[in-house]
Amino acid sequence: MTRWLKIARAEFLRDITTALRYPVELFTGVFILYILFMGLYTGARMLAGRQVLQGDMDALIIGYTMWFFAVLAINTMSTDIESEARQGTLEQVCLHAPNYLGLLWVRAVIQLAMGAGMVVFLSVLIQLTTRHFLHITWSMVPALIIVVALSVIELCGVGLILGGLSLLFKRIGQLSSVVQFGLFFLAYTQVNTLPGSWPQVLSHLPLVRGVALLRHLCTPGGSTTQATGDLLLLLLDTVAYAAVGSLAFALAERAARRAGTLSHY
Amino acid sequence: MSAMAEAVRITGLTKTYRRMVPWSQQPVHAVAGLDLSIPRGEIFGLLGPNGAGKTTTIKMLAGLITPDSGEIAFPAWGRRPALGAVLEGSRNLYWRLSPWENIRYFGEVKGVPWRQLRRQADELLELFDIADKRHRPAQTLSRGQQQKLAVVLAFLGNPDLLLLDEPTLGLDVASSLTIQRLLMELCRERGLTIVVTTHQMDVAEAICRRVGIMREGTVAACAPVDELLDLFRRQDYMVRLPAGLWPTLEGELDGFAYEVMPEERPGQVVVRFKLGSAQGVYPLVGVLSRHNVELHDFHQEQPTLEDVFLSITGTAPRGEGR
Repeated sequence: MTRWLKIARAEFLRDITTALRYPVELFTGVFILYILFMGLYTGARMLAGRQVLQGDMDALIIGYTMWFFAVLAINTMSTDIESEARQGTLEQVCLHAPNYLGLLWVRAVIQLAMGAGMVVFLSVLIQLTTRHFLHITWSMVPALIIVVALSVIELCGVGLILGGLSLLFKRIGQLSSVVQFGLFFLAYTQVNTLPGSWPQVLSHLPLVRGVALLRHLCTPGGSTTQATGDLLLLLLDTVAYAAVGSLAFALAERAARRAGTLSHY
Repeated sequence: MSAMAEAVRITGLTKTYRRMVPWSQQPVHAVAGLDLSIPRGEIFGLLGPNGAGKTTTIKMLAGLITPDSGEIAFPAWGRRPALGAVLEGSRNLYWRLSPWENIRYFGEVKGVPWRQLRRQADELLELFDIADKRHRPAQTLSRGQQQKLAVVLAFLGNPDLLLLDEPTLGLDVASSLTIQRLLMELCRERGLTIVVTTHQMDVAEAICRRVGIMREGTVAACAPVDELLDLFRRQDYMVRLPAGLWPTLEGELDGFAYEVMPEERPGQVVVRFKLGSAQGVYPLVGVLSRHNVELHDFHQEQPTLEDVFLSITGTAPRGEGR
């Protein structure tokens, strides 16, 4: 077993142990997310005069679940750094991991994979409660997984930029909240209705293309062949965000080691 | 490689903390041209008042802070040695995980093979007397037990060099003594090199063979503890005698430098004689015997590491250094 697989196992065991030791925290988190969604749903129904269209409902569910991934990615890549610095374990992790950036990517994979289980549970619960069901066929599942995975990696890139700022300045909670709010807005933005070249420009923002693709795939008749171009562009965006995020984080880590702020809180 | 080879060689090390944002504080010169040599296989104490640059130095050794200039070499190993560190005391562990879960996590991140990890966990938890707490969340352990666990984590994977920043700070006497004893045992048995920073001079005197005393970012003195104590040993003699005799005796002591110490016991007086040389004892004893003084105590005052520290730094170990 390679060193990184061992680290992945250590991360998984640490996360699962903590989650199971404090189950109330876990269930409260899911419950709050569910309540928040129901608030959104009720608001949408009131605005739409009790009747929410199937397409709008798809957008609501897809946007919400993707925003949940966004929050998770930012927590893993940024908020966790802040809490580890506060706790005092950040230095130990930086000291012993072969590469801190690599460790964060491993953490992201583990936490987002665990989070995916929660997303599926939450999504099913929401669909059962609202009696609106996404049009998902088994043949579409691989494509959906790829789009979600690419969008999540894109979000990790954003998270890494915040993580770098967190290493340097530590208290960036307010900025993280603003970014999370911005991502919530992007999860519900349908840029193709905008005039001129705005759709082309804005679709490169995180979540926008991924959410649009998911909506397309979850629509009856939606297919991957129609969306090949968008899938390629999403792949390019993902690579760009991951690369920029990693580079920004590596530079911030180097600056933090120079400034002596790696562990200071 | 000989046991006394040079483990760490620090040459011209400097570190200045600069402003991160324009409105923050002025640059702080934490380490200013530090030269230091640490022998392999012994416990080395890095002492100094607050702000002397000890923690910055130890973190630069760990690679967590990048120096502005200077060089850190590890001649004994010819490469960067395997490190263990306790830098934030009991905060160096995940409080929601148990001792065993902390060991499993940090051991795997360090790359310690699974079998070795299990064996070391049993051995170290037993040695540090927290084996019965191995499955309890760390946040339910006492401060001393958490600190012991932090030291256990530092020992995982058999490091070549152990860096301990205030390992006994805030511990009760018993826990502090246990950690001191275990550090000495493990250093002796495993040939480990340990660098310890501490404000507690008694701890440094008890466990360190050699110390470096830092002041304003540089080393003001570096020598074996015994040599430093010898260097600061003065010919001061404490004499305890019956108080009734003192008025008569005082007139006979014109040639002696002395001071009367604050009263400790009723009916007795304690006088510190500063004799300059060991030969000065003979005339003093002559005066005392002429007056048939019944001596309650007569001993040469021994300096402590704290006296040495005070003489070198001009400040108390916990005083403001900068």
